[in-house]
Parts: sequence; C-alpha cells; structure tokens
Amino acid sequence: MISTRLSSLLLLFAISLISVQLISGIWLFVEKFGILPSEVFSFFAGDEERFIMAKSIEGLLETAVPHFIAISTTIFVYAHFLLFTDIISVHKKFLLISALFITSLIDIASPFGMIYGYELFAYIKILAFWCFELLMAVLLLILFQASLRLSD
Amino acid sequence: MKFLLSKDLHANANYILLLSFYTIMMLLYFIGDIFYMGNFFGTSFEEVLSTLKGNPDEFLEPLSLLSLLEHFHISLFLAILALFTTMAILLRINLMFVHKKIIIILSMGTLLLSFLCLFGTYFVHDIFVYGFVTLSLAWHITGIYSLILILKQVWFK
Repeated sequence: MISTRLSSLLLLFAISLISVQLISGIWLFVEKFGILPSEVFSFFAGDEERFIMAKSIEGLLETAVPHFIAISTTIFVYAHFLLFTDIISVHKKFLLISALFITSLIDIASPFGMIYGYELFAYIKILAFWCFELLMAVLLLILFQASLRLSD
Repeated sequence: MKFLLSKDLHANANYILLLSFYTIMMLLYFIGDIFYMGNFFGTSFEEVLSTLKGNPDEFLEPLSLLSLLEHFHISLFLAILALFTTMAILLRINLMFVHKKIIIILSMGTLLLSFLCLFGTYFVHDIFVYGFVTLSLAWHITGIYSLILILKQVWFK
C-alpha cells in the first residue's frame, strides 16, 4: 500500500527541485541570450560589429534535440499528476497541457528562423519562453495545492 | 509515481525484468555521476574551490558563470529525473513508513541543498563548499542505497 503522505512529500520535493531548475533556466536564458529581442537575434544570427558568429544548424540541433526530450519528459511527468486532481476543470487541464507543449515547441524551434535572418522569431522566442515559464509556474502551483490537500 | 500501475512488484515477470534493468542503469548513473563530478570539480574541497573560483598559484581561471549555469541546469535535471523515479519505485516496495520517509527526505533534501550550496560557494562564501561536497555525496549515496533496497526486494523476495 502506498502512503498518500509519502507521495505528497515526494511531490513537494519534486516541485521544489523543478522550481530551482526553472529559475536556473531563466537565469541561463538571460545570461546566454540576453533580454532584448535584438540581443537574442544577435546571438543566433550573428553580429559583425560585436564579433558574434552566426549559429549553424548543427549548433542549434545540439541544443534543440536534448531540449525536445528534456522538456517533454518534464511536462509529461509533472502534468500527468493533473489527471489525479480536481482543483481545475478538465477543460482547463486540456488548455494548460496543450499550451505547455506548444509554447515549449515554439521556444525550441524559433532559433531556426533567426539563422535565416528573420528577426520576428526573436520576439516569438522570447514570448514563447516567458509563456512557458509562466505556465510551468501555474502547473507547479496547482500541484503544490493538490499535494497539500493530499497530505491532510 | 503513477507510472507503476501494478501495486504488486511481482505480479508480472516482465515487470521484474524492467525494474531490474532500470535499477541497474540508475545505479550506474549514480556511481558514474560521482566520478563525473570528481572529474569536473575535483576530488577535494580545495580542488572544488580552485575550479569554481580559480587559483592564481596554479594559473587556473575561475569557472565562468555561463559554464556554471550550464552545468547546474543539465546536472540538476538529470538528478531530479533519476531520484524522482527511484523514489517512486521505492514507495512501492515493502519497507517501514519511517524508513521510506527518511530516505525521501534525505535524498531529495540533500539534492536541493547541494545545488543551492554550489551557488553559495560561487557567490557568497567559500564555507559553502563543505556543504556542496558533503551533500552531493549524501544524495548519491542515498540514491545508491535506495536502488540496492529495490533490487534486493525485486530479486530476493
């Protein structure tokens, strides 16, 4: 028999750890790419004045491919707990899970548009990234509330 | 946690096979990661400090913030995945409630604190290096201990 108190304890730790992971992701994004769309665009498309080389497709794939598996696994592992809680409606769960996968997909794929010179993709990447982080925070808050209910 | 649909570990021979291989692979991860961390940061408190903050006597440059963040981001993800799935299996085996609780708190708690100590060492004070090294060893050892308990139950029940 599995103790619900132990399950909720484990879930609480997992939520704390993935929160630290998300914060490190935000920090890494800002440190590596910058905050402004022009900085993000320069990082991927290159900038002769700042001596920044344009990224190659191979270089982008090296980052994109591990992120496809890492982000989808993270969403899958954490979002599947939503199926066992009634804190939000089925419709909202559907929207949250879809939005998480779609925003992460756009975030990972948008640099490929930038290396062909489309600056619009820098705006899209920034928007998708912050939406994804925000949606993950919402998911973790819901799970946090659910784990507290479980431990009562 | 809900991946393990059957509540009985011995309900299916393939289930035992799956758990056995997964547990062995995770054991290799935990053991291998100790060597990897020793190789990346060093094997003593002084070496870890030299890697993070540099050492003018040995002409060592400090680790860049970007390198530290990249290491942090990747290592933490792998550690969460490994420990979380290990603990999810641990919940299913026959152990005393208190024993399981101590293992979960010790492994997940030390994992969280060890990564915070890594940042503490880099940004706040050298004293955090003791926490980083000790707690890193603690979560690896607790993970290995949990996997040995799981293997023992899967194979010798």
